Amino acid sequence: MLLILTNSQDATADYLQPILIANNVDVLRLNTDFVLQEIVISYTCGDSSIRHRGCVYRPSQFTNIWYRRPDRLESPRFGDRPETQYALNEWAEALEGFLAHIPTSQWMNHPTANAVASYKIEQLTTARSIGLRIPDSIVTQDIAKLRGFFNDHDGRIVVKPMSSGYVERPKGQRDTIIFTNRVEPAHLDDPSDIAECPAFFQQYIDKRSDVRITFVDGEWHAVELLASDSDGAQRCDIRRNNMLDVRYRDTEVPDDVVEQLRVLLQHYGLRFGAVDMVVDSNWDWYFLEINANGQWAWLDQVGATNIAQSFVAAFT
Amino acid sequence: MASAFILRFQEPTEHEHVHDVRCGTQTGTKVAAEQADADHGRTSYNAIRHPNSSGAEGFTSESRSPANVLASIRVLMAKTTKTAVAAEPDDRDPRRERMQVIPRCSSF
Repeated sequence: MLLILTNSQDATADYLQPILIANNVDVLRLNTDFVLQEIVISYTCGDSSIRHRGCVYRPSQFTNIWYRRPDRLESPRFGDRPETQYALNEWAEALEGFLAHIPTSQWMNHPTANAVASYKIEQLTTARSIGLRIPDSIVTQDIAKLRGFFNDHDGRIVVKPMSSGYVERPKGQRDTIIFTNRVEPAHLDDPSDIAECPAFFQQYIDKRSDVRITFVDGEWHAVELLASDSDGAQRCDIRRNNMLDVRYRDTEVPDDVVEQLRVLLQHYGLRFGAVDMVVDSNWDWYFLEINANGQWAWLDQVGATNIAQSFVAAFT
Repeated sequence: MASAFILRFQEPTEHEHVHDVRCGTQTGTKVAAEQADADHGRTSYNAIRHPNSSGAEGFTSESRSPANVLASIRVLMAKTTKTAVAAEPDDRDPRRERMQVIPRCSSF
């Protein structure tokens, strides 16, 4: 049986769940925003179980956990008082205690593996050590170093966020988003904020295309993403414009790159990973990052892939 | 007020809370409703706690941990006695970074 651990608004799980069921995969989906109303947890001297809608489940019944996007536990029944947080944390401990009985190898992916694999600059270090080509990259608070990097690359560098790229704002205000951007000479005129916070810069790659490679256990799906900036070049950040004008097509990935990516996933203990790469005008492949809990359903829905079938195979 | 170079490049999103799918889900367009690649719920292995991390544990900060609140009170009351044993927090490491599947509540 497959346990899906997510929240009730997870569109990716909404997409895959009926496909799994249609392929005779037994599924129990726990949405952390409602799970407290649906389950009862029990433990007696080595016998851990949860009761969900009248059925009792033990850890040994779950051959796989698909760890999607569980959110904080919620329950209106505890009210809004300091003890609420405590009670919810007790709930979380009990639920995690149950889940901890399930070997990490049966998780796709285990959250600790996701966490270890989640740091962009460490990913670059690891990818490079495996033999993958990476863009020349620096993180700096030093304007002199940044200017040197800028000059070394003939003024062709980008800046990108290391964390999510979102700035959340109070209700009623628009959040802001930070894409990968070209750094212009004028950006270096005022160095005051460089020293205040580390910033991540990479050489600008003259991209032929962006490529998303999605690994699900032993299978992988590679899709080329094509979109143009106003100057006709491949878009600096493919995510702009909500990706509405992106064209998708199958692409072949060099065998050595696939093998290196397999090693990368193995290094992090990931059964699933969504890798972002770019191909330059010389057909060199550059590793940008791996998203350990990345999105993929949109690729199926635009007809570029059938990643869902790889999940079916993995969970069958 | 200090800022960060990267913040020069922020742009308004089209909607409030673009990654909070509860604001715009259940449309037919699963593509638009898909959450971002970045897993905002990631909670473990934060060697350095992010100040406003949505995944912050209830007892994220040592200063908010009951054990440490207690410890600090004891230190205040007996600060010249150097009774380190009495001031020690309990065995539970409030910064433990092990398997955390469920993001913890963070508001106090």
